[in-house]
Amino acid sequence: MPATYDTSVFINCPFDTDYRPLLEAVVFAVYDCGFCPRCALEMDDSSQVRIQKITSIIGQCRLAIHDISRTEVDDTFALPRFNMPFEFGIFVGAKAFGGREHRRKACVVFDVERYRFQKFISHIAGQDIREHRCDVELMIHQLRDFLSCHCPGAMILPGGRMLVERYHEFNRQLPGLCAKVHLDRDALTYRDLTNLVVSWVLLHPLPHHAPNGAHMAA
Amino acid sequence: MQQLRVREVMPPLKSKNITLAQAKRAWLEVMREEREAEEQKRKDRGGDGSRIAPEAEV
Repeated sequence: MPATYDTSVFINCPFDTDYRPLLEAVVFAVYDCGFCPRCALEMDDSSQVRIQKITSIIGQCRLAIHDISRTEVDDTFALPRFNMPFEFGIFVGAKAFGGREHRRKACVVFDVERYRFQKFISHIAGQDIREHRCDVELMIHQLRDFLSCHCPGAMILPGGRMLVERYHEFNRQLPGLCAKVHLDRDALTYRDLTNLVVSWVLLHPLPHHAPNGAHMAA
Repeated sequence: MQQLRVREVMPPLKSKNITLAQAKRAWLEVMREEREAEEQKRKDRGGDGSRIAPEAEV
């Protein structure tokens, strides 16, 4: 499965340290399901305006994972951060106004608890918002179920439990790998992380993966 | 309204980051070392017959 519009998944989630384990699990699960994650962190280019970078990536992805769990009041300014709901809105707008290809867009929305969003973004009431409870395993199970609905043809993804086991194995081996190539395990760039995930998945292939890793363009 | 463009996705690799080939080589090394450590453990337990198990020495 090559990395195309249909297999590219926009990741709209927090980038802070607390969220890092979930982000790593999301990146791993998306690749392991045979899709290609895309996110604003992939290009470290200060000359590019952030919102242009985001809209450009959204334009290249049919699927998206939106995590609005960080919409909470900031201790210093007593205001919530709205970047993730805003990017979710751009995705919904692209689906509504972007033309034929973009009408096929689909996404999954996560919050920390299932019905919390109704208090700050009631317009999406009626949509199926999933909770992850900040639990990596629950997140992987949910992602697997979402992506399994968007696999091309008759492809069948392995169950969530298997993906969780593979993620734990990857994570167990990661510190040793980082030590070997002089990378800081706790400060991996997004590009480093994706290359480490892709290479691990290539060495541990599953039946639904493309034989030469063609789905892993990143 | 200008229509959003759909194209093949191939973000450029940055040279300062680890490359896919480097990562693959390093994973292979990690896996080989784990295998060797596992084999060594088995040998130490006498599991492959190369070393006499303590109870057999009695």
